[in-house]
Amino acid sequence: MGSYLIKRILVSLVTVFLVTVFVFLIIRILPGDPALVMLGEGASPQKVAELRAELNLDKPLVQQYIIWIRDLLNGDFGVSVTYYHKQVADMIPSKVAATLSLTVPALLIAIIIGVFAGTVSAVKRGSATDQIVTVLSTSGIGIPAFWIAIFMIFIFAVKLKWLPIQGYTSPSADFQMYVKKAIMPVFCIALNFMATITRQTRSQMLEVINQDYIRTARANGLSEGRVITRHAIKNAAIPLVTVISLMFRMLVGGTIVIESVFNIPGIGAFALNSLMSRDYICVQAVTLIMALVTIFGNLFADIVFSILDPRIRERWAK
Amino acid sequence: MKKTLLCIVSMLLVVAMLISCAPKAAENPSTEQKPAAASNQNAPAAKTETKTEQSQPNAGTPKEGGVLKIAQLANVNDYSWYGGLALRDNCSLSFCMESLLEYDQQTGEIKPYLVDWYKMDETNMTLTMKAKEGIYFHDGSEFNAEVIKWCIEYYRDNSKYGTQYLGNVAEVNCLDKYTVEFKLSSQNIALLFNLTNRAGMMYSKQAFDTYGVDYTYNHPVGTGPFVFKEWIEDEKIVYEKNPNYWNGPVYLDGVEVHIYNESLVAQAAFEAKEIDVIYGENFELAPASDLKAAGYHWQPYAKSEQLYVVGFNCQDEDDPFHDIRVRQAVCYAIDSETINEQCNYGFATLTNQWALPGSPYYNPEVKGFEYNPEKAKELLKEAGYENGFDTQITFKYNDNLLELGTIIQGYLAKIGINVKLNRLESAAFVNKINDWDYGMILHTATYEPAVTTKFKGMYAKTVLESTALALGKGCFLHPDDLDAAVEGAVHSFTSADEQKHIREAQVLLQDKYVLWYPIFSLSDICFVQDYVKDWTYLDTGLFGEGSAHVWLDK
Repeated sequence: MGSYLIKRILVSLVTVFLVTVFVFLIIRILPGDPALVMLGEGASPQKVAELRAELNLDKPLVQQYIIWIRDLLNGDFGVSVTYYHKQVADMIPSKVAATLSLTVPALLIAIIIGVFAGTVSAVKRGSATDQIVTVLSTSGIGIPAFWIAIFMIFIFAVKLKWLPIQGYTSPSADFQMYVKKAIMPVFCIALNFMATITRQTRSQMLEVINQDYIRTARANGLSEGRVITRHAIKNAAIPLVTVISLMFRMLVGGTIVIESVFNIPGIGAFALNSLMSRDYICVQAVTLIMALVTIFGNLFADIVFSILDPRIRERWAK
Repeated sequence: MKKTLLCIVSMLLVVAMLISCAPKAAENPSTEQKPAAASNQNAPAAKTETKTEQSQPNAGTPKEGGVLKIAQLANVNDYSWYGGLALRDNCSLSFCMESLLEYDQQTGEIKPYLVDWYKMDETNMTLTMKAKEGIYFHDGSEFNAEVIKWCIEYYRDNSKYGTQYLGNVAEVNCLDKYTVEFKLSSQNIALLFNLTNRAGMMYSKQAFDTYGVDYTYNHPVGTGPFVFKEWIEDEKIVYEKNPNYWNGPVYLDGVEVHIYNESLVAQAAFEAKEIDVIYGENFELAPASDLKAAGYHWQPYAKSEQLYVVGFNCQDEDDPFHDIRVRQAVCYAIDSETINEQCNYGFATLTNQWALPGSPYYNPEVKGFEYNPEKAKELLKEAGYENGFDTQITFKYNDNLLELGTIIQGYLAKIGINVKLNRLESAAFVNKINDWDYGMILHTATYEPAVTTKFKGMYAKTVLESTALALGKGCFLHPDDLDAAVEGAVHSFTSADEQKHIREAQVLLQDKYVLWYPIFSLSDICFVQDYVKDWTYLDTGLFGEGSAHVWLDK
């Protein structure tokens, strides 16, 4: 297990390095002089030159990269030049916290409901319950989150006036208002997760239910409930864990549309606003963070997978 | 059978959902108000639906209390005192910051606001003004000549627009506690207008000295009717009433500017009366037209007009547009009237120059180009392009410009010009503003009321030499007579003289050299609930009295 972990971590670190190079280069190879773009029409050549020097754009690429990595390792993501005029590192925690306060509950709800619905659907295959779950889960994948969001705002906020139209309150500031404002965005985020997990669970459960060991368990007199919960779900969970782990990257970075519609000051809205205002420092930082979350999400998935299935770590150990 | 039944039930559910989403007529549509005569100076002469400026009705006795909630459809980009110029930023700042002078949107007159008077001395090249006594910043420090001097010098020396807007202010001297004199290195009529805007905005020197420059990025400390309380980035900006406001009573308890990203959501919030005012450059025309159809009160916001124009690459001798007849042919081939009717829901104004009908910069003698595709074909034939040619039109990628570019492509195809749509992402487009390779550019340019400044940035040779980025620097013709007209306007000492030179420049731009084809002019739209009274931004500009006496009749 130890050697497997070490190998996976080393591979992840190499991936992190490659991602930093990619993020660094992509901003610089995009068309346009960032300083000119930031200052806009009417800027004097002197101001453009000053900004280029401030952003180290006048130095060789390798030197720029080294400066950037050195600053990153010291926790300095740079200063937002055109937009917020603040240290990016100071802004990101609150943005990430706002996003996670919605995506984590959404994922938990999606896992609980998705696994339950998928299991019931598989166990009652062909029944009306199975049909309903299948239609709903297909709709959940197919219908765009933007549409669901606007629809919910129209029904629950405008017509019924049960919920506020948009906005965000931190759970630590006012938990009751946080819950009221979070219901719609959490549901919209959870819907796609839920639909995917339902379908994946159903698919895996159908495969597992027909295995010999399940038939043996039934033959040994175990109740159907015990067969499903003690034997079937565990074995179906292995690929499901992979699917859920891959959803981790959506916790930070998959909510741009929802944050935009509901005006939530999360990392997705931060990324969008930075892009629209051409604040390259912020764009760089956010892209890197999202990439790191994806890499470590995959690492986590691999580790959990190896715990659940010893064959995986044996293969890696070899 | 069961499956069929289930499918039918599902479809019926979906149809029911769609029906329930159908828009409903407004329950209490307010009557559309006729424009007040004094405030309708810019009413268009075009045949299309009039873009009316609806002034507030006689409002009655103001009531105290309430918080004005505004939905701004564009995020605040640069909140620093000496920063950018975007309307979205200025709108937010205007509740707490004020400028030395005020621009009268109706007459074009520049009036004293934070000063008692100002005087331009042509002989000695000075501008003198006297600060009003008894005005204090929100931190309690006094507004006086020393503060004016510091603000102007700081803006001139540190703002990225300092050279452009205050570059001719060589020296600022305090003559006494309240009187200040600007010594000018050259005359620039736009200086007065610039002092009605960010360049003339007064920030507390005491706050700057106490907290430093970083504080100014997100803590405006001005003299305005509202005091800045907090800015939650990407969410809202909150202001509280200034109980010691120098210019009369403030009726509201506060103002909240909420940032909305989606027009539909803002529309829903407005109809649910969660929001009292909507404005912003990203407020789409389709939901705006829904609100207009439902009878809500609307007006163009703060006269920040965006002119949708097609520009031509005239400099390159290998480009067909080097020939004026080809440029004229394109102008004859585009039916701007029909485009305006079909695309703008009656919110835009037709114009054939860089000014609105009724504006002091508008020249009725500009002939422009009536839609006439046959004439267009004749001109192409004369120029040797009887069979047409291939070209491209470059524009920043957004839905409005894409739609417009596609329409123009269709019109020009009818006269044999094959246009490739060259859509560019924002950053890439900014780098093409100087020189867009070949063909045409489709652009939206803010111009009213700062026409002189706009023309100076594009056509004055002395400015072009010192600017890194200027629209059409490498593509337009820069003839001497146009340069002379623009320089004449810039160096005028009176508004009348300035406006005369600009009107002269309009004829040169549009009729003599045909550097542009203006399609229509569109301002940001503002919707205001009926119970919001004395909302006078339209009359007095952003940094004047606009928000001071707003009150809520509910």
